[in-house]
Amino acid sequence: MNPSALQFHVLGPVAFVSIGSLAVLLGEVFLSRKVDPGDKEVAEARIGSLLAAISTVSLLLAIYAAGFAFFHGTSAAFNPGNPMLSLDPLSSFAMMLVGVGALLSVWLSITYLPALHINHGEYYALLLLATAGMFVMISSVNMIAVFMGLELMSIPIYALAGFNRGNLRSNESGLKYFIIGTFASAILLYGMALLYGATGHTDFAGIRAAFDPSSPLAVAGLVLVVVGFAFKISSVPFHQWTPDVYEGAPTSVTAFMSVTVKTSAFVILLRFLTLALPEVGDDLNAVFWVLAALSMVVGNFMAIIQTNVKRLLAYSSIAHAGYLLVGFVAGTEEARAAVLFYLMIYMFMNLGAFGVVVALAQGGRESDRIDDFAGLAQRRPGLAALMTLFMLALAGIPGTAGFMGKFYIFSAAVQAGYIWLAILGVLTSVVSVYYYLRVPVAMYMSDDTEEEPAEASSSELVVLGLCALAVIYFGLFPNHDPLFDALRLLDLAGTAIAQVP
Amino acid sequence: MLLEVVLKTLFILMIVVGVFAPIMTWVERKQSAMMQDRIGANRADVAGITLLGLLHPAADVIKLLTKEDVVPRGANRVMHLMAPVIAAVPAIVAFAVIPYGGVYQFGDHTLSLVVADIDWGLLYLFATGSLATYGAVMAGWSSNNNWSLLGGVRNTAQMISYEVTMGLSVVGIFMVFGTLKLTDMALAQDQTFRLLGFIEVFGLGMLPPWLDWIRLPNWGIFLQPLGFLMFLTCIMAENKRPPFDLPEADSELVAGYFTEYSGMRFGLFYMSEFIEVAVISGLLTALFLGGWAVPYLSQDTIIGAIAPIFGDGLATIVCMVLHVVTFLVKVIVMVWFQMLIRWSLPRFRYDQVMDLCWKILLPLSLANVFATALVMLAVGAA
Amino acid sequence: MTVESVLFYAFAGLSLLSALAMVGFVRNVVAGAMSLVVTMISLAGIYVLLEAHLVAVIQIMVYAGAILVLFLFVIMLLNLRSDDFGPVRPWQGVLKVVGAAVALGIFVVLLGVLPDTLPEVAELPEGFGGFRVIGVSLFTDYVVPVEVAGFLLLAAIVGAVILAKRSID
Repeated sequence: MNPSALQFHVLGPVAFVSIGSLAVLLGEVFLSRKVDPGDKEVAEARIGSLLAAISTVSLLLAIYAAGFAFFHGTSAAFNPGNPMLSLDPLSSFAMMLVGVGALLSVWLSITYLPALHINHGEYYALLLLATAGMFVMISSVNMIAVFMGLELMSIPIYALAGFNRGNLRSNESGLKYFIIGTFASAILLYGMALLYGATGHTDFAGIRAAFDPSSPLAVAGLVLVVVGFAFKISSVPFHQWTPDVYEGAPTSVTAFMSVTVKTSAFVILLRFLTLALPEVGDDLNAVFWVLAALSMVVGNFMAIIQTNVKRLLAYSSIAHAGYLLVGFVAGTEEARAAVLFYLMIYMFMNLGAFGVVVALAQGGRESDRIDDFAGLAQRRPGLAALMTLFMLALAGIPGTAGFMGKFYIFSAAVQAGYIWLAILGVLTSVVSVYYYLRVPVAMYMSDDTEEEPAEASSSELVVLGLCALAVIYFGLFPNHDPLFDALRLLDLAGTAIAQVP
Repeated sequence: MLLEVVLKTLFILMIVVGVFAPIMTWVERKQSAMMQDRIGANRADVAGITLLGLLHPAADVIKLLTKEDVVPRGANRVMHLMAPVIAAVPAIVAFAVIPYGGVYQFGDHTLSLVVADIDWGLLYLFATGSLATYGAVMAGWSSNNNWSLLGGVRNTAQMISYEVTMGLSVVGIFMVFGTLKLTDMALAQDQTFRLLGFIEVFGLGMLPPWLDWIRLPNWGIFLQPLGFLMFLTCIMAENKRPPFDLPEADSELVAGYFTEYSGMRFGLFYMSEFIEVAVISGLLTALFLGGWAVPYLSQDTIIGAIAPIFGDGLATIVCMVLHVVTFLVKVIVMVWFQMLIRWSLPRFRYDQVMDLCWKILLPLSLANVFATALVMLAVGAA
Repeated sequence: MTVESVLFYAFAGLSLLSALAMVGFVRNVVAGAMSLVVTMISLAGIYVLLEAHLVAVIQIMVYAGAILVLFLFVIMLLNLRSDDFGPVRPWQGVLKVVGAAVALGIFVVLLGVLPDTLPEVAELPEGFGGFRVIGVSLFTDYVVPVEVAGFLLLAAIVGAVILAKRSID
C-alpha cells in the first residue's frame, strides 16, 4: 500500500460523524461532572442541548462533505489498490440523505428526550455512531466493509430502541430488534461467506468477475445475502419485528431508524446488485417481484386494523418497502432513479409524521394512540394540519410529494413491462388511503379530549416545517424536476470502481 | 529427533512438577514462618532426621493420597472429578514454549533447549492461560455448594478482566523485540545496550568513549519497566494467590471453588497453583529477566573464553549447563519474590481488584503501548 | 493416510460430536457450554492444520477463553438447574427428529454437489497465517474495517452500559 495514494477525503463524512460521536461522549462525561444535584433537570436539559449542538455541527460538516463530493462529481476510493470505501455520486447522494435524516432526528430529540425523562448524552453519541455505520455501509464496495458498516449501524440502534429503560415496551423493542437483527446479520454473513467461498473474492468487482450462476454455492450465498438485506428493509415475509420495534422504541428513534436504516439498506442493496452481480436475470427478479407484492399487500392490509399511530406507520413503512422493491424489479435506469427519489420523499413524509407524534409527548408519556389525536384540530390546529399533510403525502394524494414518488416508480415499472405489479401497487395505495385518513378523521371529526396536548417546541417546529416544505415543493413542481433528472443520470458504478480489473 | 523432544519434556516435567512444586510447599511454609517470626514446619521425621522440615512435602502427599475422595451429594459427578485435571493441564503445558537454555551447535546438530520452538510462543501462552479458567469454573459449579459457586463466579470475572490487561502489558515487550518467539526474545536479551546511548541516537551530543562501558543487559525489565510491573501484577491476579485470592478467600468463602474437594483432587488444585507459580517465574524470566542469559557475558564470550581450555564441544556443554543453571536461579529468585509478596500484602477487597484492573492497569498498559511506539518511531527516525 | 488427515478427521469428528452434545444437553446448560468449548478447541485444531496459526490462537483465546467463559459466568449467575425448565412437550421430540432429518438431508445434498464446485486450493504464500502477514494486511489493506470495528466495539460498550447500568446519573 502506498500511503501517498490514499484518498483521505473519501473518509470525510464518516470521520466527521465518528469524531462528533466521540466529542459527544467526552462532552457528556466532563459536563455532567459539575452538575449540582439540586437542579439536575435543568442542567441535564442544558447539557442535552449542548450535545445536540455538537451532533448538529458534526452532521452538518458530514452533509457538507458529502454534498461537496456530490456536486463536484467526485469519484474516488479510499485505497485505490484495494477499494473498501468509495465516494461516488451514489454514495454521496445517499450520505446526504442519511445525514439530513439524522440531523432532523437530532432536532426532534432535543425536547422529546426531557419530555420522556430519558435525557442522557449517550443518546446522541449512539445516534452519531449509527450514522457513521450507515455512511460506511453506503459507501462500501467490499463485503467486509458492508458487514462492518451494517453492524456499526445496527448495534447502536438496538441500544437506542431500548433507550427508554423504564418502559417495558421499549425493553421489548430493544430486545426483539437485537435478537432478530443479529439473526439477520448472521444470515447475511453466512451468505457473504458462501459468496466468498464460491468466488474467492470479497470485493464487488471480484465477485462480479468470478460469479457463476450455475454454482449452487454462489446462488445459495446470493439468496442468503438478499434475505439478510430484506430483514433490514423490513419487507414481507421478513417484517414481523417491525411493528413491535417501531411501537416500543422512543418515537424519535423510530423516526430516525425508519428513514435512515431503510435508505442505507436499499442503497447498498442497489449497489450490490449493480456492481457485484452480472446479469442474474429473471430468477432474482422473480424473488423481488414476490417480495414487493407481498410487502405491499400485507403492509397495507395489516395497517387497517391498527389503533396505534406508531404501529400504523410501521405497517405503512412495510408497504413503502414494497413500493421501493417495485423499482428494483423494474431495474431500469429510470426505476433506480425513482427508487432514490422515493427514498428522499419518504424520508420527509415519515419524519414529518413521526415528528408530530414526537411533539405530542409530554410528562414521561407518549400520545401515540389514534384516540390521543381526537379533537387535536381544535387545540393545536397547526399540528393537526401538518399531520394531515404528511398523511395525505404518505397515501400518495396528488399535489404532495408522495404522489410524485409513486408516479415515478410505477411508471418505470410499467415501462419495464411489469404492468401487473404496478396495478397491484396502485390498488394497495388506494387501500392505504383508508387508514391514513383515519388520523385526520380523528383529529377533525372527533370530540375534544380533556387532556391538554403538548406544545410543539421550536426545534420540532423547524423539523416539521422543513418536512412540510419538502413535501409540498416536490409535490407541486413535478414537471421541472431537475433532481430526478440528475438522479436518472447518476452513475451507480462510479469510475473509482470501474478501474479495478 | 523424537527422543530429543521426549527428553526435553521429561526434563521440564521433572524440574517443575517433580522438584519445584513439592519444594515450594515447604518454601512457602518456611517463608511464612520466617516472616512471622516462627520456626515453621520441622516435625516430620524419619528416625529422627527432619532435614529442616523437607520431609513435610512427602508427608503431605501420603496424607492426601490416603484421604477419602468425597463427591458431595447433588454434585455433577463427571465435572466434579474432571475439574482438578482441567485446572492442572494448562499450567503444565505452558512450559512447552519457555526456553530454559539457548541454542547450541554440536557439529552438525543444533540443540535448542525448548520443547516447542514455535513462532507464536507468546500467543500460545495466552491461549493456554485463557483455558486455565475452566478448572475453577467447573469446580465451583459442579460442587453444588454456594461458596464454591461464588468462588467460581469471582474467579471468572477476575480472570477475564486481568487477561485483557495482561495481554496489553506485554505488547510493549514484543514491540521492542520484534517477535513473539520466546527463543528469539531470549537471544535478544543476551546482548547489552549503552545506558546513555540515547544521547547519541537523538543527536544530543557525542559521548566520550569510556561511557560506552556503562551498559545494561538488554533485558525486558530495563526496556519495559512499567510493562514488567503491570505484567507481574496481572499474572499474579490470574493465579489467584494472595493478595488476589478472592475466588478462594478463606475468611469469606470457606475455600472458594475447591471447598468441596478432598484427598488427591484437592492436592491437584494445590499442585496446579504451585506449578503456576513456577510457570509465572519462568515466563517472567524469559520475557523480562533475560531468560537463560548470563548478564554481561554473551554466549559467544563464554564459549570464546573457555574453548581454549576445554575444547569446542566441552566448552559448549559447560556454557549450556551455565545457562540452564542461570535460568533456574532466576526462576528461584522470582518464586521467592512471589512468596514474599504473598506473605506481605493483605487481601484486596473485590471492588478494589476490579478497579485496579479496569481503572488503573488498563489505561496504563494502553499508555505504555503508545509510549513504546512513539519511542521506537523516534529511534527509527533518528 | 498422512498424519495431517488423521488429525483432521479426529478434530472434525470431535467438533461434530461436541456440537451435537451441546444441542443434546438442553437440560444441563453448563454441560452444553462445556461441549461448545470442546467444539471451539477442535476447530482451533483444524485451523492449525490449515496453517492458520494466528486464527487458531485467536479462536482459543477469544471464543474458548473469553466468550464461553462469559457464557458460563452468566449461567452461574442465573444458577440454572434442570428443574428450572418446563416439562418436555411431546412435539419437542417430533421437532428434534424433523430438525435432524432436515440437517441430514442438507448434508447429503451438499455432499453430492459441493465437492465439484469448490475452487482449487491455492499455493500458500510466504508467511501465510502468521501474525506478521495478517498484521500487515490488517493495517494496510483492511485498515478501514479495522477502524470501523473499533467504533463498533465502542458502540456496543456504550449501548450495553446505558441499557444495563443500575442507575444513570
